[in-house]
Amino acid sequence: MPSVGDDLDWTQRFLLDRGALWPRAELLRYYREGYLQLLALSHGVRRFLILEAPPQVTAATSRPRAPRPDGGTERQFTLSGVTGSGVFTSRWEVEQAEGIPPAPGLKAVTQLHYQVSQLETHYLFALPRAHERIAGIWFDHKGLTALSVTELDQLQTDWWNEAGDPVHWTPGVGETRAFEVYPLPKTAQPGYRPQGRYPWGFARTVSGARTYTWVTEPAGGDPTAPPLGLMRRLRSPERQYLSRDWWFLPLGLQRQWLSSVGQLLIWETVVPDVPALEEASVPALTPRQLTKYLKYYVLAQAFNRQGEGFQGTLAQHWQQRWQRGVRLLQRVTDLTWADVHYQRLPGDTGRRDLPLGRLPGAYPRLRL
Amino acid sequence: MATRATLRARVLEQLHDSPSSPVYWSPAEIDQALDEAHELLTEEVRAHRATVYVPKRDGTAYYDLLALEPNAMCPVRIWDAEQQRRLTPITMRLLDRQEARWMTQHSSWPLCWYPLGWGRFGVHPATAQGGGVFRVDLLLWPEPLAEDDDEPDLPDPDQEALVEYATYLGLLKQRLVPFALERYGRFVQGWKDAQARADIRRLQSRVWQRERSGDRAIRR
Repeated sequence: MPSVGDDLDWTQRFLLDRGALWPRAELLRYYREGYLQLLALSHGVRRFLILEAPPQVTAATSRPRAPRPDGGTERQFTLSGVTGSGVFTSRWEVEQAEGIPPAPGLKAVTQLHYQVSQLETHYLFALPRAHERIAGIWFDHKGLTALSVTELDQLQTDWWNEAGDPVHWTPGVGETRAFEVYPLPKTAQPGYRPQGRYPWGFARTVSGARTYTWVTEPAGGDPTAPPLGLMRRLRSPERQYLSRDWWFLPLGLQRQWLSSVGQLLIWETVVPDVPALEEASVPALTPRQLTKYLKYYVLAQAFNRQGEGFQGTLAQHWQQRWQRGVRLLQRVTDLTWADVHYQRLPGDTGRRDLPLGRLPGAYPRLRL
Repeated sequence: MATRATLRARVLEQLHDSPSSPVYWSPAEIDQALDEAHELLTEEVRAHRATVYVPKRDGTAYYDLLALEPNAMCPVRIWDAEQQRRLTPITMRLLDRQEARWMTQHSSWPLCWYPLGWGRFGVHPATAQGGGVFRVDLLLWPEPLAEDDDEPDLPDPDQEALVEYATYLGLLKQRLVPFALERYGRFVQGWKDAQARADIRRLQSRVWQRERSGDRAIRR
């Protein structure tokens, strides 16, 4: 499969340039842009993502004036005062800074969901960096319908504080790559948890309410022997186990195990994540046959750059060819268009009256 | 039927270069252009198809086609061999509207399939009992031509389009833009002709009916 460097060599042959007008780094930048745009515009790559609801996170709150002595993770709920005099972590601090008698504040907790029904800020679920857009969300395998904040505000309640099984999701009031659910799940239902004195490394055994049996390969191995090596595949007659980034081979160690039972399951479109493509890289998120459109993107951008080397006609031509690739990946992703039911040819549905016969103008008038 | 060698020679002739010892273009460049043309034509015409058999596994809802056919573009028809039934295409949104917890349902008789992105599809209900196969008809990209005596998997009339495209790329490199765009136009016309040829096979699936125009009463 051609690498990024091979594709850039091809584009340089068409640019008739060996880096004088268009440095290699510039072409590589265009290639990365094209890769990102191809996936973002076509929504071609999607994956399942599981978020625990409510999440169990390592929480270490601190304010800038009192940093943690051991240098751990800091998290702040920043609230701005009216005068913009600083950032605050609790509502009473805003009131205090503005000279308003503060209302009783909340006690410190380690997990936010302990405070559901008393939250001062909206409860946000954060999405990973590679996230582009949400295609669907389910909680405990039940689909959540999307609502806007405006529609939820029509309830005229502190809806972000209400606890229960989620029914709706909303982009919320937070940043991009975050969403909220309504109502909030309050009871934690963790899927898999690492156990043991030192819960790191890789899993050796799995236990729980279900029965897990080790099968060593090659087949015929002793099932009672201690499980050595790495777990490579899980198979069950009742459920399916998937790796999150399915476009990569499941190599390496499984670091996190999640279950969609009682959790949020998100069907999301993704774009390339760090690290960025280099010359020796091979784009993994697109079919091999579509990388040619990335070359067209590079040519379109190169010819469109103002200055020496600008060629408007060629820039437009390659831009049109690149857009065709985006549409193709859109169609390939939306597979159901190709499996259509044929229908009979439509008959002549229009009703037409036969034209009335017209007599010549000089014809004598008829007397009936 | 033309081979890669004959197609390459024709392209070099069109570009006024020596077919036997080219000066301005390497054989590898022309071969790459021919492969690219073959891919583009296949993407537009969508006539390159194959069938794979996907074994049904118990507890499995999601199937990966790329492990079976690396050149898979997308499935167009999924047939359950045991039921002798064609699965209905559907989307996950529609399934959400029809059933609350459709993801947890299992059955020995899947009814429909839904896309999960390129190269993957899901079936609903998920397979409860393994055994048997899905017959999946796919659209494919072509394999690159590896040897000089390889022949492109296209009808003879469509192979001319490959020459037009490779010539177009060669003219672009020479910065003969108007001539190159003219060749590209011919390539586009070629794929439209090829689509028409492929559509004839689709028309054969239609159910013809009598014309209705002879049945209506004459109205004054």
